[in-house]
Amino acid sequence: MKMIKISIVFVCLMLGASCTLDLQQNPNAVDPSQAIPDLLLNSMQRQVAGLFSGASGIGMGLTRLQNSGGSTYANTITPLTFDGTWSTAYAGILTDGFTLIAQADRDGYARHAGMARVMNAYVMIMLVDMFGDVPYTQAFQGSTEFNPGVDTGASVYTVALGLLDKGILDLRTLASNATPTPGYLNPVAPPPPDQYYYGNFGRWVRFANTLKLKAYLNLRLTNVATATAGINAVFAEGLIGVGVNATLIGSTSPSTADNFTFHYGSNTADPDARNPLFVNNYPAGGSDYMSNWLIWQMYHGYDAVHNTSAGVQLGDPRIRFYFYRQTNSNNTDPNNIRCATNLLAPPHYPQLLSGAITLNGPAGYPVGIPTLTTDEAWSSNGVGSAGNLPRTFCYPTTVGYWGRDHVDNQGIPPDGFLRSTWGVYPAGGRFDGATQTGVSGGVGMRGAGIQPIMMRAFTYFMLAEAAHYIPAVAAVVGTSASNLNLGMGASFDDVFTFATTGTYGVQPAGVPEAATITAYMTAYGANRDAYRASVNAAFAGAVVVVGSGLPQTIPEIQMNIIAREFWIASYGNGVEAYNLVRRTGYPTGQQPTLQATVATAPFPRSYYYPLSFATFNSTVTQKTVLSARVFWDTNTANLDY
Amino acid sequence: MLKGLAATVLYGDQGRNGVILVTTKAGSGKKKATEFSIQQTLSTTEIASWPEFQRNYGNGFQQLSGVSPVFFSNWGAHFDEIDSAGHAYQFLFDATLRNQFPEYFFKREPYEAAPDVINYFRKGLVSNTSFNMSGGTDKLSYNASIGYTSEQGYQPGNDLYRLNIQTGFTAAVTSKFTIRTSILIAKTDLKSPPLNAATGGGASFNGVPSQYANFMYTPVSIDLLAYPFEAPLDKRMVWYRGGGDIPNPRWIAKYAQETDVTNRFFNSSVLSYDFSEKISLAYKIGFDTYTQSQNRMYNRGISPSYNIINRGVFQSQTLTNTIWNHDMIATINTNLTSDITMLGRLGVNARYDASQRDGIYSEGQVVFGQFRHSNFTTSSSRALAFDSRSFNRTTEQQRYGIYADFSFDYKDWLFLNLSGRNDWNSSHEAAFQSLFYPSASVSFVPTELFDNLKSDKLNMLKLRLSYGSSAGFAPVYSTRSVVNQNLRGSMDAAGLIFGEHSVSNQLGNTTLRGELQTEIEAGIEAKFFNERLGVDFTVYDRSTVDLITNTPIDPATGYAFTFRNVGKLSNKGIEMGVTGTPLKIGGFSWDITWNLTIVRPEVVNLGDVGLDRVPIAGRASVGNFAAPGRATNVIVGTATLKSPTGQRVVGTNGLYEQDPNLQELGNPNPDFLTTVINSFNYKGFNLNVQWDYRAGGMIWSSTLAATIGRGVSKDTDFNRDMTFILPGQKVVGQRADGSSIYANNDRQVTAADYGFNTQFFGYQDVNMVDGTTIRLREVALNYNFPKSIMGKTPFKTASLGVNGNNLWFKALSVPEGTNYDTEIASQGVDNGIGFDYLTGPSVRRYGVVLKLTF
Repeated sequence: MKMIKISIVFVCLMLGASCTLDLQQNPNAVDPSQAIPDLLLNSMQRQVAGLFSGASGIGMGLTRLQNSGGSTYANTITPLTFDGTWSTAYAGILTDGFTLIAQADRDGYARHAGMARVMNAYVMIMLVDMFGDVPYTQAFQGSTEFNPGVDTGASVYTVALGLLDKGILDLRTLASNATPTPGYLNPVAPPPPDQYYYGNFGRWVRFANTLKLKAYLNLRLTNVATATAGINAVFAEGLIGVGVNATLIGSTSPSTADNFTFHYGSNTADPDARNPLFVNNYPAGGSDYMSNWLIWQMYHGYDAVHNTSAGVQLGDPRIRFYFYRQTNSNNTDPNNIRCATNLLAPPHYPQLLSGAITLNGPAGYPVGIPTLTTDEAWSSNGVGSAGNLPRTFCYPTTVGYWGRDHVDNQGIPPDGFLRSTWGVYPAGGRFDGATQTGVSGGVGMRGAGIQPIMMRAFTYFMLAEAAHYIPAVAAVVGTSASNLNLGMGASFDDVFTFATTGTYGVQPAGVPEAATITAYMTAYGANRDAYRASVNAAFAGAVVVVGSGLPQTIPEIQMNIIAREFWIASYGNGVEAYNLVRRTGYPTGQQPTLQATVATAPFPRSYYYPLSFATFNSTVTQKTVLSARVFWDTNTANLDY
Repeated sequence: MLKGLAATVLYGDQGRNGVILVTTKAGSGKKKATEFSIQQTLSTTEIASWPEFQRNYGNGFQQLSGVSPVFFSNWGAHFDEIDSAGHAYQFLFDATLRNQFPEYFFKREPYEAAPDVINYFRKGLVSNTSFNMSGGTDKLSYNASIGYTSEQGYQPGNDLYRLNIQTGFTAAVTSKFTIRTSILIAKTDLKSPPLNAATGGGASFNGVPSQYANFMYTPVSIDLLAYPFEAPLDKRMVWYRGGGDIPNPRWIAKYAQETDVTNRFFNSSVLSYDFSEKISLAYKIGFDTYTQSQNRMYNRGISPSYNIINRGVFQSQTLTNTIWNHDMIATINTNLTSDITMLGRLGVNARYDASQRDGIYSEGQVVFGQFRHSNFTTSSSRALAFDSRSFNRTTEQQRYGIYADFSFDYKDWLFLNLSGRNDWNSSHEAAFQSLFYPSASVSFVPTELFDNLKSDKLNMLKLRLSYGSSAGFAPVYSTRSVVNQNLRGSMDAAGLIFGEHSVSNQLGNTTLRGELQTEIEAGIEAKFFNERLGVDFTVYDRSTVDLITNTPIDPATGYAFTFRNVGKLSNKGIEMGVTGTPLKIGGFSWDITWNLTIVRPEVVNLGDVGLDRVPIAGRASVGNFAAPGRATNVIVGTATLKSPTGQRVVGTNGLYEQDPNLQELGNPNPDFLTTVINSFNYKGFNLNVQWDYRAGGMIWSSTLAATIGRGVSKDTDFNRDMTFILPGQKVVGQRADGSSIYANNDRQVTAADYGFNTQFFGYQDVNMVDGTTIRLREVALNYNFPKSIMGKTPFKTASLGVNGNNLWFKALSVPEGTNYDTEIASQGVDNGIGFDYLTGPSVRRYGVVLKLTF
């Protein structure tokens, strides 16, 4: 050996350069010991929006908030679909989060730790809601455990609720009159960068409590006692849009600024800060298809004949904010819209009727669509021969709205600059002022949209549902009727506020079309109130219509109405909508899949495990069926259509 | 060229895939007259694998051709059905583009087959000139050469220039001390339109445009060469799709370019001192450095579908790579006894590799055509439009090796070689840096030992047996985890920027070991019938233990990838070569060479990974995998659902259903490869004809999927008015136990559904094709001018040759009209095996060679 070393030293001397074998440290990246808490927190915040965006798209597709790709549910939901979700959640947000929490707890960055804990809890709840049992206790251990086994969904929920509790304590170290004795807040710790609330930690506590509300509401079916106690407790402590509790969350009063939304910008380069819905659908034409069913519900479902009286066009006024039409007339070229030559609905459509809610039909017309057994239940538009309002197929309206029927994966015709696409809310696209111009990258809010991750309206609808099923909750949070009314009001307000101010008061944004929108609201503002009034009336005066296909008890009918409003208000948020549909089975009567749903490809009650998880982890057994349910889903409603 | 591991101990882990020894000429040390030689080659290339297109159906879908020809696909109406269609440019969605073409507003185009898009290509031309001179005195010898190549690609916009200048000297300073040095200076200048992976729906993966992404399925009714490709006013790209989502290949060739200029300097010097006849000491030093200047230049306006690149992108990057290599070698050459000679070498090696990358990226071109970073609105140190990597990067790697190599020769009939090497490599953590790998070989020549064995029938017989081993080390910086930094992570509506740190998804592996390759080889070599028949037969088993590969891991670990030692791979193989001279009459001879290669790569186990299979290359939906007991690199991907009887399952829409789990789709390794070379010599003439045959080896082909699935290949020229029933089974009910009842499929679909939705838009299994191919690899005719003629010229020798390469091929299992060349699969863009990502056709080459010495 001596000879070897002497030889090596000799060669080294000749070389006159680096002789060391100690070259393992990568000079091109940051060593983990040098990670900066502010920057880890920023990474988490952006990735939460990205994770939400992916999960929301799938959920919106399944719940008919947008079209779903694939020809069957089994082709829509494949294991491959979720590799990105899994990687962003585990290797991205959660790993960054737990790295940050360890560092922040040690150094007294309590508020950083609080935000990280709340975001990690959000992600873990989302993972359980999507996949069921997922790894936690054996996860995040790198090479120590290459094959982390799963924990039950219920135990991951418990962990998430614990994280929220601790996160709230961390965040409350900021409150001027903080009474509890949370962790250690180092005086030199900088205020954390906050892309959601811009430094208002009381609102972070509201968000954390609203996540607890969401979790407890999911537990309603399996553990009503825990749900009741939990919901009543968080209601008292303050939620997004609810409650003033200076002791707990500071003096901020509930407002639109409570909405937990990720704010995109309109910058195109370094970084491209625009909402991905805008980037994918505006500069090069539409790439997502809108949901014919949602369009039909908003256009006709409220107002069967779609009256135009005294210059006031009825219908849900949010429709112009949700969708942007590139044309105002129905295209009849079968090269552009395949069903143009065959307006007969698929044969399985009429057989799959359970009632869908409709309001303000012709005199004597029931709330809901009667069960019909013929094609009359489905037509391209208008009122059927029997004076009944048929549901939709192919063309949802006569005025150019252009989406796709549920689970339609036909080839893509050259309709990118013809079909309807995302509007101003939440994509940051263009308000539909009936201008009939094609989309481009330079119109509307130019992508400065939001991700509506948790909105005031959702709080109210969740409270309405809880109050509806649990009298002990109603006694504390108010009746389902009052919360339903609040939810609708909040949804309308927040859609309009966003479109006219570009924000919820936390950060300014350019709103090029504010004047047009204000004019529209002046003209159609009355619709909003009429809409609320008629929903409230339908709710209060609910009657059982035998043979309507609608639920056959008053409470079921009422819950159906709450769910329909929650569903429409959750546009842009397929995460909450998918939970809603699984938890309640409402709203009923949604459009069936274009190809008849078969037993081998039922409505997904949870998702397949991601391919990366199933392939690279030896402990995983892939689910064999899409009908496998998450732990809280004991709802017996049949969603397989 | 050195093959086999036993031969590569002297070259360390870098030599394990075989060593190509570039023995730079440095003269011989004998007095020698100056000699010159010149070689000139001229050749031309043309497209070899071009599909035969159908000429009956045009652009469209479901046999409809509506008001405008604007589909990706070619499943439109029959040409007999419609006389004319509106010109595509009157349907451009963007009015600011459409209005630059008022001449097409009301123009109708005949609805008919346009000229074949192959007319777009030009003749490729290659010229290679080399000049060599050598000579010397008794103390000094020298050699110098200059080579120049210019190549005009068949693809417009693709050109290559290469200049090599090499000089070498050997000086005998004293009778014992010799200095030998050689210097190579090379410059390569390459420019090309962008070529990137595509799968038939546009550029894939990284979203960078590619010349061939949409080229081969240009609709039959669209005339590529007749339509303008740039707008007159602002030079924006224009093409037949209304939204501009397919970039016009002519625009790409003219306005998008990638360039690479490489300057290389390589010096190698040897100082050797002979202490005695038997012992000498040599010090070798090699310094090899090259600098690559690479530009990616995309003018603005390529297509709104390329969100960033459409704004105009310019990236310039410089890569410098430097290698210092030192060896100290002691050589002992002695006779141990009168019968045994020994050649021994002891050496020490130190090698240091360093690289540096710098660059700048800009987007937002202002003045069209100008590529200066000052002409762009935004600049960055990261490649935003491509992979967002940071340019600034340096790497260092240090290797040390000691080695010994002893060869013994007993009476010319028994040979023994023993060698071993220990390497230390800085890519691994201290405890795992060292790896020892020994080799041994013995060969026995019975025809030398037994005099009576040697006869006219058996001229020579040689038996070989060897064991070899070699090492492999990890790429730099794979042992430690890092945090990624992006200080411009997001920006809100008010312009506030949020920088980010994020724990890298790449997990460092502190216990990563070097990999060890071992090889056992046995061979027999024989010559018969006055050397008219020769046989060389080798069997081997080459295996790799602790294979290092960057494997995906479950992200629930907190990371998505890590370098791991993943078990053992084995390559069992047979190589056989037979040479024969069936005919030799007077000045005429006919020689045949037959080579056969059979290799069975197999994954023996995956070590402690504990998985059924791990991906080696490719994407999540389809890639090369390692699975125990299966062929190495087996292709696994999404697949059509199969019924219990193994038939494809058809859904209610008449199309195939997807299996939620990945399936093994095929083995990309050929069953065997064989070559036959017939060589005819008559006087100065020499004719060589080489045939190749490849048996099996599955290929995942985007070219086939695109040309058939898009309805352009001749194979889709069936009567499209009929309906089609996909072979397979459908579910007709459920049994009580929940299992499905199947019946033969009778659901009818249209031609477009069959072609597009199954062949192109189906699952990965339908893209698999068997790679069996017969090929006329080369025909070369050469003539050496006889001395009688040369004597009357200033030249010593002269020869003239013509040759043709890849003249004819036929892939036996692919649809006839595609004329598919299975070798384009080997030009894959990623490092997978058996994948074709639409990167262009293969070529045929014809050339002329003139050699002169004087």
